[in-house]
Amino acid sequence: MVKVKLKDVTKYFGKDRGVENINLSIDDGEYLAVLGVTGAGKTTTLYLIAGLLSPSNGCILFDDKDVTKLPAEDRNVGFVFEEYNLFPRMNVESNVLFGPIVKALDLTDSRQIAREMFSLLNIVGKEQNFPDEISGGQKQRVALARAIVSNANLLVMDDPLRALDAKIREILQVELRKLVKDLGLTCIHATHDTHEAMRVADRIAVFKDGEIVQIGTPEEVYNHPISLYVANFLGESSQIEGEIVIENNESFLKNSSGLRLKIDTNLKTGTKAIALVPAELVNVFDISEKDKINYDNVIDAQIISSKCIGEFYEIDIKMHDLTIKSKELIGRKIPLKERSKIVCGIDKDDFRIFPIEEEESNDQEKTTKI
Amino acid sequence: MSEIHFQHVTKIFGRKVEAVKDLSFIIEDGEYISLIGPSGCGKTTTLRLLAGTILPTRGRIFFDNTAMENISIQDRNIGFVFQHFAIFPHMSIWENVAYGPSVRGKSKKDIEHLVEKALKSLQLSDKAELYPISLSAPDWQKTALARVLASESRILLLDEPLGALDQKIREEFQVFLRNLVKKERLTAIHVTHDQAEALTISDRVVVMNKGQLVQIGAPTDLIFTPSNIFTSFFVGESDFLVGVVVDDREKYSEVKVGNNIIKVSNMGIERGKRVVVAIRREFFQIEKVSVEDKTRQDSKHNSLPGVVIQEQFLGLLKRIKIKLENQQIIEAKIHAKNPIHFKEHDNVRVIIDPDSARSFSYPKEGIVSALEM
Ligand SMILES: Nc1ncnc2c1ncn2[C@@H]1O[C@H](COP(=O)(O)OP(=O)(O)OP(=O)(O)O)[C@@H](O)[C@H]1O
Ligand SMILES: [Mg+2]
Repeated sequence: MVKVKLKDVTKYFGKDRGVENINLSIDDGEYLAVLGVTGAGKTTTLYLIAGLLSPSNGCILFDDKDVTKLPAEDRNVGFVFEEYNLFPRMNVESNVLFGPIVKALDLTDSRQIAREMFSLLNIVGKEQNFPDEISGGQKQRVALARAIVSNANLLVMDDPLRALDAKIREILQVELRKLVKDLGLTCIHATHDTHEAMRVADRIAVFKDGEIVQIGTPEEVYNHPISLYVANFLGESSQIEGEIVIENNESFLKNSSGLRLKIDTNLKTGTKAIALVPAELVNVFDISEKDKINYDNVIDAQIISSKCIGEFYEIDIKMHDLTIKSKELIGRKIPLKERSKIVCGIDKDDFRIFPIEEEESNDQEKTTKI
Repeated sequence: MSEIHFQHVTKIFGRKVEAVKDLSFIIEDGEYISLIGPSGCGKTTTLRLLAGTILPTRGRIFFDNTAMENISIQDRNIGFVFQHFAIFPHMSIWENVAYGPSVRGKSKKDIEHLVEKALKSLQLSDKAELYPISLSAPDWQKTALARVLASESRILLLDEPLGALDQKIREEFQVFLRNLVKKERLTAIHVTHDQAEALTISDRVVVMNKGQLVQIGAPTDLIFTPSNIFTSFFVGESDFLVGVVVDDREKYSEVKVGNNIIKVSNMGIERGKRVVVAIRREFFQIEKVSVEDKTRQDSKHNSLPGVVIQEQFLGLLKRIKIKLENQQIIEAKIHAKNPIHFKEHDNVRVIIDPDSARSFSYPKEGIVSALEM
């Protein structure tokens, strides 16, 4: 158990910025997820905390003690990093018991924990195998076991479940959180996957270009993304550009094609704004249900295309001159054929509203074209 | 032409690890196949058997009608792309792509032609002189693909090729990859952990478990018409009801679950036999009922009575845990925006859509063992 604090931490690699001015406090026993695209600074931050890199500026405190200059082996951090592979010449068991052996701990306890980890992680029977004799996902689970068995009180993990299939990943997300809480560890878990972050963490820190752009509980981040960038990053969504109009104390967003959406905002009449709506909050109904449904906005629309991706249909919808994305659970009976006439129901508080002026134009998410 | 035929292929490592067990299937020429299954189920081993880096302990692999056991890796005409790019950092993109044809002793003119064509196909022409270090992750994967094309391989093996990419880029790359494979008329076998990726990218999907083939079928078949308990469990989420077939009509069978009878898809299981009914959690429809209704036999709906234990929010979904009369606990996934709130102790009816309720023979080894990964 340990409290972690980063104060104005900056790291440059030559001229390249790793992270800049990171200020972050992680509570005793807190589970923090770190979310961001490749190159956003997640791994750098985790390396700095683990002591595998030292900052160009700023300091790192564990329980108010400055550890900035402390080498990694004296920080008592268990870590999972892609680059810190298993030791190829040691079998799985020796890999997992490496920490306790180096620290000259009594191995009786560690062996017991190791056995529990093997069974929890479903790698029983692989103890005597060498790393090149197990599968990719098994390697990752051994690395995870090694970090937990290391007897550390802080766990730093860079995408520890990445190489696993969805089924095992979902099970382990739940188990990992439970384990961290049961053992009273403080935990920092970097991931690309929004759902994973929401499922495991007490709080989520969203990174962009070497900085933390938002930090909060999963609900706060999901329901109140601070910028268009964060909102877009969290999942599939659609954007509607328009102008705020207030009538009878109610706010609307009007766009050039005559679409008029009831929204929730403090922005003044005349402000140009973008309304962003996550695909899963756009509800599709057969046109015949138009009078029966109860949403703040009920809008006529047409199906452009739909595709089944597992538990959801991904649906593209034509609404006035816009293309809007929807995600619907496959159990619902809804029209899916091209050009079917439908109605969309969207509640006003499901739009995330961002004024256009304040938004840097380059903030509009750079997508790498393929 | 490159039809691939696995005939009872088994691979045993050491003395007892059966990484692949009696695998038989045919991949047609030009098909895009995905391999999914729990970690450690034998996906990578299957690819290695195809590539020839390991040989089957038993069984045979044919490309068209040629048996592969005596054909070397080089002569199998296979290209690979893995998550950890096997491209040479000290060579330019051009040199990386030219490596295959040069090793094969092609003439300078042929090499140039092949490399340029491959680079063009991958939209890398303007990056030919760059070195891998100055490229992004998607471009590394494209370089690896260009190398496969320049080597004139007909079969493309991909092991988690998009694993290092961010979600949005990954989704764009899926479309790109499928189009490339179709345009170049390659046969592709693609291992992925991402089920949505498998469903999006492939013509057919192979589900494996514990070294065995569990089901092979079109993406939507796996979701809507799984042919066994494991697929229902692994692809998405399902609950399993145990019952006995009491009647079978043309399209539907009637199954007695506890004291209730429900209609399910007739999958050819005889009357009197024990069955497992698998239902995806999105397909349960939940309705509240009054206390009076609760005791009345519900003839209007195809449903089971139950009591709510918990309603839980999970991002995009609400999950309702329900205890059925036989004490079994099931879980329904409903839309997060569903306006009805369910409270603990609420009496509900769990409505079952007979078309999406699949019935399978009760496994001899029990349900838990059948679902072991
Ligand atoms: N060289 C080897 N010696 C012993 N066992 C091995 C060897 N290679 C693989 N195995 C075992 O064979 C089984 C199948 O491994 P394989 O690598 O094919 O799995 P996979 O489906 O690719 O898994 P993942 O999704 O984790 O990559 C595993 O139980 C693994 O531990
Ligand atoms: Mg593998």
